[in-house]
Amino acid sequence: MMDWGRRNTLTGLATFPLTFTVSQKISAQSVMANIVIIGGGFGGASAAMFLKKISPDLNITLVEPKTSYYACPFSNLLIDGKREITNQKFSYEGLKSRGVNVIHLRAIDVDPVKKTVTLSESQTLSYDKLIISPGIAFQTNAIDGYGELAQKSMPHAWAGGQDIVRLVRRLKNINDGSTVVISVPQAPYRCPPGPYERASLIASYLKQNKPKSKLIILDGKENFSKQALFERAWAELYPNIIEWRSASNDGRVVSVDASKNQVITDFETLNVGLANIIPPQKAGHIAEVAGLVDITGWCPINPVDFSSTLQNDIYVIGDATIAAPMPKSAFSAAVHAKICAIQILRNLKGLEPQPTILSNTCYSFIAPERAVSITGVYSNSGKAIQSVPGAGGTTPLTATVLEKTAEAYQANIWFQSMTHNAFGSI
Amino acid sequence: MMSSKIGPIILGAVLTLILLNACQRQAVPRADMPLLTDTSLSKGALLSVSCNNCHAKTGLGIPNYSNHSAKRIKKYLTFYKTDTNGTSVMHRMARGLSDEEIALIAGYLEASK
Repeated sequence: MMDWGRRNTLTGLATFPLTFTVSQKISAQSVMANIVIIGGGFGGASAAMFLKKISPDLNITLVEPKTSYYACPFSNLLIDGKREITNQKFSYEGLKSRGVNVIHLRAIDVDPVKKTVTLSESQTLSYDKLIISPGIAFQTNAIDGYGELAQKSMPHAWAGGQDIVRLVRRLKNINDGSTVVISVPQAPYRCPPGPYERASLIASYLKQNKPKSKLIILDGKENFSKQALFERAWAELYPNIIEWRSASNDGRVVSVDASKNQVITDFETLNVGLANIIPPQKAGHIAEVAGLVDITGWCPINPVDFSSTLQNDIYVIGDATIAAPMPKSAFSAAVHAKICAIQILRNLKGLEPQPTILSNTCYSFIAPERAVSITGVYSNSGKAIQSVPGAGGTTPLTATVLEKTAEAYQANIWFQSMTHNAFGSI
Repeated sequence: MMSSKIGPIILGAVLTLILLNACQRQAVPRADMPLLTDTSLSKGALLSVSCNNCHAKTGLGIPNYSNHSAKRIKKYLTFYKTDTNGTSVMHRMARGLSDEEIALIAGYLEASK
């Protein structure tokens, strides 16, 4: 432990001057600020990295209990067997080497009035500006029977980590002729096209290895992201393997019985070889503790700078925000992070928030070496984030195999760039 | 005929002078962390936050624009914006940008090299 770790209170943590050496156009005055970031996923890590890049003298503390990060994007490719879990793993050394104070403790409380964060082991951090990137929490009680045991035998594998390894292992152990179920929650949830990418890659595995098996997607919604592209791919690549049931077509999962390997909908009990239950979601726990969550379970923000509408000097970024029509994605989180970072520095320099154009791009694999993409372009100049008319869209339905292979290649670059920007690794 | 040969040379010289001038106005960069200072909080910086999500300087396949001039970046983005038949990610993105926003992005990316 370093010296700060032994101190019970860190309220005296030094404030560092934020000096702009060549700032004729904005201001030559330096500012003093402590910026604390809670959450070391794509949002929090990107914010820390970006703040350090544009203002190296700034004092940045990142609070993240885990010492390694396992990324969600690309984790579905483990199903194919060619990608390893080590390809998903990132350390915080890149951030540390650039001067970010990374504290591997859990944030357990936030006092927005005193502007302090309490960590496990009772340490306290003071902040001038707090960025919270809490990710998601699961509403496990929304599905009867989805307790601790069921979460192990019917893993959601939707929160990064190594759960995906457990899911893949279970998939490899099912008998040929089994039924695999993926249950998809109602919106909003993390990574809207993710369940259908997972379905595609499981179907690819079943076709090659367990051809008598089938996959049923039980959906809490009536339609889904990139639907036409996925359905075209399923018909072409995995005929008679995938069955998609919308919420109104008995797609809603009411309960599970892990001991009997059963998934129960409104009208049917399905005996399954494997169930991947993705529960409904809400903002990560610390957002609730900090008083940043509204009745929806998510965090309302001012779209121009991602400041909370509920607490002063606290900013929320990433999946936990109410930022629709931007999807809850790693790309969105990184965009939130960088915009929030610039706006915080503008605020510290006495400058007004500046509206801008935001975007998102997500790639989904429809087969191990073929991907399709969706792009959104948004404006935050109004009261809420809005799509820019005439921009954005998906890979066309007429795209050739070559184009989808090229998109898979681009997706790889996307992953490497995103993780490089967040964790400093290639 | 003469002017068509000399034209690009003059243009190149002018661009080089502009670039050199721009470089001189930048703070001395630190290792891999350039100190962007005056431009780093600008509208151009805000408009450009998405770019390196795919175009990070990792030396990989998607074009690394770090050696591109503002003029070249502006030319590409304007092509994507106006090419009505295009379906790539860049076409879909550029259609959401005004000419002024494209100019700000191009200027920022050049200045932040």
